[in-house]
Amino acid sequence: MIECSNIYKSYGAIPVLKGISLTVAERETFTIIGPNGAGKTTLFKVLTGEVPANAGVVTFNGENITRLSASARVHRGFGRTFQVARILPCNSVLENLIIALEARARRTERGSLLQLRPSDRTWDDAAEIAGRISLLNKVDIPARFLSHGDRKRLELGVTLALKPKILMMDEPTAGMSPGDRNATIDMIVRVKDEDRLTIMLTEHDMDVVAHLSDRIMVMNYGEAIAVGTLSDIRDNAAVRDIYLGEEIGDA
Amino acid sequence: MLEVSGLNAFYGDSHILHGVDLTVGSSDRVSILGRNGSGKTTLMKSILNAGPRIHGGIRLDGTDLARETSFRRARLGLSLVPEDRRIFPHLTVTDNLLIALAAAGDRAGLDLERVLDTFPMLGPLAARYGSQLSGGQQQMVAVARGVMPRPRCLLLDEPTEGLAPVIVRQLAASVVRLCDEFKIGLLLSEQNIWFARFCTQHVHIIENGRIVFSGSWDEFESRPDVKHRYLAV
Amino acid sequence: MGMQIGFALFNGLTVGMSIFLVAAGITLVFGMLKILNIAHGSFFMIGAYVAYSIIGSHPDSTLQLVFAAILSGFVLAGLGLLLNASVFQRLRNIGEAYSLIATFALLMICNGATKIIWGVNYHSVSAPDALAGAVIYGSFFAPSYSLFIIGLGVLTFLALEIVVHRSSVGKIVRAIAHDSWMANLVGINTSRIYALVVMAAFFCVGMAGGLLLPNQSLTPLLFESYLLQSFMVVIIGGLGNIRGAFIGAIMLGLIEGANFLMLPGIPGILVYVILIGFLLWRPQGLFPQPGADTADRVEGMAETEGVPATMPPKSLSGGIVAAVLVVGVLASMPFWANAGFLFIVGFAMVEAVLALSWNLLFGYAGLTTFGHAAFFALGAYFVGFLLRQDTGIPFLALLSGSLALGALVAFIVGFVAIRRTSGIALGILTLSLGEILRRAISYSPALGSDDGLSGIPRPQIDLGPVLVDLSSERAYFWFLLAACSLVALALWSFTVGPMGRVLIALRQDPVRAEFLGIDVRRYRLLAFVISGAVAALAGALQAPWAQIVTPEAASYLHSTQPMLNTLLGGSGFFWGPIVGSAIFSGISYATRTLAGLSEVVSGGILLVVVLAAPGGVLGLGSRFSRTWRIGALHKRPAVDELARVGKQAVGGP
Ligand SMILES: Nc1ncnc2c1ncn2[C@@H]1O[C@H](COP(=O)(O)OP(=O)(O)OP(=O)(O)O)[C@@H](O)[C@H]1O
Ligand SMILES: Nc1ncnc2c1ncn2[C@@H]1O[C@H](COP(=O)(O)OP(=O)(O)OP(=O)(O)O)[C@@H](O)[C@H]1O
Ligand SMILES: [Mg+2]
Ligand SMILES: [Mg+2]
Repeated sequence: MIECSNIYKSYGAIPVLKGISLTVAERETFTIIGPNGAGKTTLFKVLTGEVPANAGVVTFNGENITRLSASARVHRGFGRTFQVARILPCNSVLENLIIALEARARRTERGSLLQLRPSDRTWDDAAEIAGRISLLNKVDIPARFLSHGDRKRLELGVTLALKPKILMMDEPTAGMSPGDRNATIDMIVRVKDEDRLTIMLTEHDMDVVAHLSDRIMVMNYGEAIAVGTLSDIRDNAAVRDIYLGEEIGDA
Repeated sequence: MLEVSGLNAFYGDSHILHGVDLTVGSSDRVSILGRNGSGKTTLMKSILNAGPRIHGGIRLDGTDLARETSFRRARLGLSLVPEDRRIFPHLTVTDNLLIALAAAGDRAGLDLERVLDTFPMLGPLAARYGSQLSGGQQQMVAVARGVMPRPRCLLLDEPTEGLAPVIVRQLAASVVRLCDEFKIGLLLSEQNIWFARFCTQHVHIIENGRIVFSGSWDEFESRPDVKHRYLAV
Repeated sequence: MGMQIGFALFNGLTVGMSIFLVAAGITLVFGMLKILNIAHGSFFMIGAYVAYSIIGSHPDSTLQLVFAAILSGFVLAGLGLLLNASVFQRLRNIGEAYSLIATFALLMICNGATKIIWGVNYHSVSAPDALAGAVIYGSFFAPSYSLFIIGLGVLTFLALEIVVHRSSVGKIVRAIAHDSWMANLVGINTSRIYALVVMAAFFCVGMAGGLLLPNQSLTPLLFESYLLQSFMVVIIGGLGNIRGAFIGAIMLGLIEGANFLMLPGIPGILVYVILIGFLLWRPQGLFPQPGADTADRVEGMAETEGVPATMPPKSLSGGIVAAVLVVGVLASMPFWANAGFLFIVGFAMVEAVLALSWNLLFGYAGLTTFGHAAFFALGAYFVGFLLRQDTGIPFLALLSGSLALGALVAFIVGFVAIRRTSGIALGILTLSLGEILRRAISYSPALGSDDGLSGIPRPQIDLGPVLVDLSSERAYFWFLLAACSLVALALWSFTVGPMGRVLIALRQDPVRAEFLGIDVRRYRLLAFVISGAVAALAGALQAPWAQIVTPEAASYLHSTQPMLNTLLGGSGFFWGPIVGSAIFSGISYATRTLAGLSEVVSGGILLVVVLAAPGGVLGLGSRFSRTWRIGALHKRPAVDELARVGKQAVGGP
């Protein structure tokens, strides 16, 4: 579904990605792990079009999208969440969802210019998504007052509202309490199923990685050092060395 | 050393903390656990007078802090590592660390070399600007900046967020070592129970702005109901 | 010829150094603390007057001049300390935009006070004898006073360079400027540093006032002479960079010199043209802040100021009643208000439309432009010129033409500018365009040069069966009211509809908007085009009302008017600009007879309003209701209850 080959990226003189290639199949969950500063977020940025790569090609469903802007990629089915949740701070939870729903609707259907309020369907859809991300009790709180975990959930909801084909999540459970984290894992599994999604994510919590991933890629200093299933990765001595260390009890 | 008694905190009209009592003895290490939105961050900010409106007593080494501004509290020996890191983007990593010495006052702060040694990840990044760091790297800088002034009490708000497993364990060891060596008290808010247990002796659980459990880790272990009810594990 | 070029270059250098002396202070305050201090020029002027009071018209010695300059620096530093405690300190928690309106109020107060204290007469100060002569070197001779200024400029530069870039002070200030909350938590006494920086800046500007005294005639208009250049220098150099400001100042001076040689007919225009080129080439300035490439928005740092409502209110009845009431009162005015007052009200309505169009950019699309009056002037001259020609083109066609013209120009400008610049660079770029237009007009005889077009006839509207004659004051007033109301209504429905929500999204977080699939650049351009068209329409409506248009319509001072109106009323509200225009016009009408005092009084009122009501007058009103609302939220009923109430619970403004 998404494929990239030989991606190079440097910030000024600092090389960050050194020839990354990967292929993610339809409806697969592909996880990227690696030490801090390995280049995971940067790779996400390149794949989603937030920053241009210095070299390399990104294709999506066979189409070369290397030069497309981020919004054009969203039109083709990208959804993206960030390491630090990006939501519209001054708008309420529901307005955040409505704005996302409308952004999508604008591309797919012709609305009437005279219709100022969102359509009833939009309200219903927004309320439904709020339910899916368990924020129904906070719908009219301005997003900036949400706690950390709630923000991440809202961001996921906003992204789901775009009905993406591929969901790219940068550390979706960072900063969540264990209970919320489990709930988020369940939710991701559920939406993946319901919306028939392909998922790419980065994560530092090995529990989450273990629960979600079909395949895992390990990055270090801008290079992919291993790709495989969870057990392949666990058995890889280099990966243990640079990333996992000995397993941590019940973290 | 740090005593919080009957602390109430408000954002606008919403009442977030309800009569929180808490002490951190000198070179004591204490964790606060709780769900998202339970008030951990609010508690930490309240202790530094950096955000919410507060009622209640906060004392450090017997001095009442009620009238002190944030920077005075920092100079008196409270050092907060905020959950959103707040690295100064236009300063290099080195300068980010050195600037924190403003809080050292007449105590001597820690040596830059020493801190860079303790957090090996930072060595190669010393000349980078704050805006050029990855999320986890920023987190490390934030923690290092927090210990620079050699505080009396270090307040760490979710320091392991976004750190790789190996690094989490290195960090745990470093924090314990630094706190022991320099007699720094620790108030830690965490989601990572392993990390919290490794670093601290006491644990408080906060729920909806109230402390609902306090005790040692052994006591905590013997109460699976508490664990289940408030942390959902 | 070579001689002449050499002399022009030398002159340019002197001018550049003078600019630098004035701009040094602004670089500190504006660049490092992000306080957009428009009053800077006025403080410079006060510095000059203070020094003048100390030494009089004929300073005896160079030493005396320097001494007076330093003394005036101290006086100004004291003033700075005072203002810091009473004004700047409060502005810090409010947001950059509001500092603009407060400093504009200060500008009015300072200028008014200057007139009251020192009168409006010209004074001139001669250079002390030691500096009156010239240094002759071969066939080249240089006035000693120029050498003196150049020397002092270099000296000031070195001193500031060391403090700002070579000591830890600069780093501390940079930390504060970007995140004063965190700076406080690492033990920095941010208030004290703020106070010191402000004092240093005021000292610099006061001293500049004294030192440059012999160079110019002293009048209450002095405040204007270095104002724009100072801002440019800061932008060219890169915010807060002394070295950049120094080089930028020299560049400006040399360009002025070149302008003098090459285009003596249109003084000062070259600077703007080159500045625009520069901004498009390097919007971040010569020396951008280190690490600034990715740091214009810190991840996770929430915007705290409000945004306008994104949905139409659930019930329109309240709004309709209010609108009918306001329009009704206005419509009845020709029957009871005196002619002068009616005239002011007509102006206020046009200014309100202009301000609405500006806030579409500022409050909705998150773009700050400082040259909005240019579009206004475009429309005003277009209609004024054609009406005077008596071309027989129907008036409504003229109005549509002005809309189209505004849209077209906005499209061209926006297409280039939005692609390359944002933030303050965009502001200065639009400011420059406005100044170019103003100068171009004032040197065009066909457009009446400096005197403008006067005697513009009021038109008739041919509606087939009926011929509406707008030539009377009363008739045109009603027409104006109808037109302005319609425009406001149209804009309002635009902003509370889906497009408004798109703009609000991209204003708050362009990256998030991009990942919602919103093409940020395209929608910004759309907002720019609409805003430009409406601004031109406002100008077109005004020309027959005032019956005269002058180049001042395009001046930067006129550009500040919509900003002031918007911020005074509250940029976080669609109706804020209208409320602001009403209040502003009211103040200026009420104080118009107070001659010299009027500026002080209206500035003072403005200042009090801003300090008492950050977020604008409407913000003050909603603050009460908001605290109430959030309080109510936390006493919310249980989850399932809400789920049941569903979408009815979540509508509303
Ligand atoms: N704007 C920038 N300028 C220069 N270097 C940068 C910039 N952004 C990131 N880097 C560097 O690029 C490298 C990769 O960063 P990236 O954010 O991709 O890491 P990551 O794998 O996501 O790490 P983490 O797990 O900590 O989030 C890091 O070494 C970082 O210091
Ligand atoms: N600035 C604010 N204004 C109003 N309410 C706020 C504000 N900041 C936080 N809150 C509310 O205060 C409560 C406690 O938030 P706090 O950030 O202290 O939680 P936390 O325990 O740190 O959560 P997390 O684990 O997600 O970081 C939450 O319900 C939150 O919505
Ligand atoms: Mg990352
Ligand atoms: Mg928190």
